[in-house]
Order: sequence, then C-alpha cells, then structure tokens
Amino acid sequence: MQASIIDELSALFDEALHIEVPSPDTDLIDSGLLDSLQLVQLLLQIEERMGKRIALDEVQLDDLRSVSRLAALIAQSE
Amino acid sequence: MITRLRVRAFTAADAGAVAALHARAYAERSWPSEAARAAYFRELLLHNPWADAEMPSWVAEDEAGIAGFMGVMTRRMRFAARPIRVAVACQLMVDPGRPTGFAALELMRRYFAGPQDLSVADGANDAARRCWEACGGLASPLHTLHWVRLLRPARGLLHLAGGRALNLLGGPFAALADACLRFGPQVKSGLREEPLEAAGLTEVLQRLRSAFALRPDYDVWDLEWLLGQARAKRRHGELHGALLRDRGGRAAGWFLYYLNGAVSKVLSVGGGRSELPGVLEALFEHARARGAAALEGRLEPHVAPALKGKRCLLQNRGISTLLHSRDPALLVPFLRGDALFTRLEGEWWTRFNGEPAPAALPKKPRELPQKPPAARKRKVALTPF
Repeated sequence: MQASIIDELSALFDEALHIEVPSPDTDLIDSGLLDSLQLVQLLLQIEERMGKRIALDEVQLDDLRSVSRLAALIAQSE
Repeated sequence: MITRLRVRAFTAADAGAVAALHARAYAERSWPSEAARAAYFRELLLHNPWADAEMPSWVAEDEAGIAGFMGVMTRRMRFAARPIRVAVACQLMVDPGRPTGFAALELMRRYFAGPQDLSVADGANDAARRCWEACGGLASPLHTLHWVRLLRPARGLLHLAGGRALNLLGGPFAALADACLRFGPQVKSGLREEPLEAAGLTEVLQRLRSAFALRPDYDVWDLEWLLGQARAKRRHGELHGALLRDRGGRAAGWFLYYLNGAVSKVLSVGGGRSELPGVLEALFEHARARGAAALEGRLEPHVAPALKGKRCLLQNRGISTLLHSRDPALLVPFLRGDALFTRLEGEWWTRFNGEPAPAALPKKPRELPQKPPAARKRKVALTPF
C-alpha cells in the first residue's frame, strides 16, 4: 500500500515539481530540494491528483521531510 | 545542505541582519543606507504605539544566520464591545541566496500560534497567499479588487494603460479632451469639509462605534503617530484628506488619499452607511479640483454598496488581503461589510519599500487647464462600460 503511494509521490515530484528525489528517504529539507512554496504546491498537487488533503495546521512539518514520511502520513489517513 | 531552523522573536539587535536580508530579498527597493533601513524596521516593529511583546515579529535562523523574517504589527480593535488584538503581518521574506527549507511556513505557523484574536495581511502576493491558505487562513475575495474612478477620463485611461511614451505622446491630446468633456454629472455631496486631524478622525470613529461590528480602537495619540507615518510616505504622492460634516455639524465621514499626476491612491475612506455615497462624491470632487486624473482604492466591503452608480472600473491586481482567526465569528464582518478595516489599518502606508529619490517621486498634477468658454456649455456625459 505504502509502496504504491511512494511511487505515486515520486512521479508527482518529477512531473509536477520537476524535482528528482534520489530516494524515498532523502531528507527534502536538508538536501535543499524543497522550500515552503514548493511544499505548498506539492500539497495542492496531492489534493488534486490523489484526493488527499493535508492541512499544514494539523501536521508536524517534520512529517513532510521525505517522500517515505509523506507516504506514511497519507497511508494513515486512508 | 541546511541545518535545523530555529524560530524566535525579533529584537532590536536583529535589525541590521534583517535589513541586510531585506536588501537581498527586495533588491529593487531603494533605501539611502542599510542603517536607515534597519532603523525603520526598529521604529515600525518595536516602537509603534501598539507594540506588544506577546505578539512579536519573528526571525528564522540557522547556523548561517537569519534565513527568514516575518514582521508583525499589533493593532487594537473592537468586535462589538469586546476589545480584540489584531496582528498585522508584513514583510514575510526568506533569504533568496541559499536554501531555507520550510522557513516561510515555520514563521507563519509561529505567527498564527500567537495570542492575537485575528491575523491579517494586506498587500500579500500570490506566494504568500498560497502559504497562508495552506496554513489554514483565507483570502478575502472582495479585497482583491480595486475600484478606479476616472476623474479626467482621457488622461486617466492613458495612465491606466501605462507606458511613459504613451503618456508623453498622448498627454496633450488627453488634456484637451478632458477640458472639453465632463465624465458624468457632478453631484454635490452636501457635506462640509475641514482639514483631517487625529482629533477629528477619533471623533468620527467614535460616532461610528455602533455602526460596524469590527472597527479600529484608536486614541488621538495613536492616530497622530499613524497619520504622521502615512504623511511621510511620498511614493504615491502627497497625502491629502478631509473630515466631512453634515449640515448639523455631525462628523459624517472622512477620506485620505495620495495625490499625484497619474492615478491617485486612496488610503482610507469611511463614514456611516447612509453618508458614504456623499463622502465618496466629496472625495472625487476634492481630487478632481486638485488635478487628479483618476482615483484608485481597494474594494473594501463597507464601501462597496456606496460605489453603486459611481461609474467605477474594477481591477484585479492579484494583491490579496489575508485573514486568519481561531474564532470564525471574527471573519464574518470582513465578508459582509461589517468591518471598518481600511488600508490605514493594514500595512499599506508603511515605507518598507523605501522611498524613491526626489527626482523619481510622483509628479504633482499639472496646473489645471482653463476650459474654453464654448466647452463650458458643452457638457457631454460619457456613459462608461
């Protein structure tokens, strides 16, 4: 289940944000791959393509630091 | 690679570093010196009449120094009879020269978590709006629109179309056309003007205290400081204003606007609901008599009904007014025209953008052309749009 979400998220990073993420565990902040505005754009894309709404006022930003943590968050909400 | 961010309250000691960040983030904004820029951050954010240690501005820093900043100015308002604290956000910025991670979002979340009853940002760009909405805030749909009233229609349209060359070439013809045409009937407001001072504005706001659910809670000293700050801003021209009284001598309304030779800009206009149409007519006539080609103002919901029949154009420039509150009841007045919240209550009057060099300041309107006698008789009312 989570593996398919990871695949979907990786495709979304590539197609919508034009960001190539080396691995699902890459820290998106430490590596400088993602900033605030890109994160907001990512969340909009997740909502649009995957039908999952992640409200930033309800989550820890650390839960969004990598594709695998993001996938876990989405899987939890299913 | 970036290290972990720490978000903490802005202090006077940070002003130099924040000014340097501002210079990097907004390179086009002109300040005579970095020291002057830093002094302005200190003056506005730490020494304004409402400065409140519980609602500070915020810096995000890492090992490399300050990576982001969010300015906060507190305002006192009233919601019905209840005093509330409003935190007006301004100058959200991150260092454009290095990775800053989620600094903007961290700053915004810290700001929203403050003790204020209401958070407001006006003049927000699209990026700030998206971050704000993602953090649970909303953008007021009406405030995004701006009304424009052409006072000298040919010249006004030239300025709206933009372009220096177009104005140089078309200016004389437009002036001639405006001398011959009248843009719609001139309506007398029936209100008496007097110079707008802090005491007069306090008087009219006091009279309107039961007319608006949400309204500013100023005293004379607050307004003296605020009007002084607004007067010091020259980017849009010279500040003009008037207090308006009805025939019985009652304070009925006011207006404040920056007069220039292009599109003059309204800072604040208000009054009782039944008096606002007359206040707007007085504003138009005041600006027209001083040579303004057009007037522009933000479409504030309390003014919207009074604009009916005033022959205004609407523009959407993608500049948003953003709202956030844990108590949704505080947002309702903004949407239904029950909030007295003008640009004076936000951050639009500030000078964080710096001021242009004297030679680049907006031109005053030229000497008013005398109408030829024949033109005086020939009143042609344009039916706009």
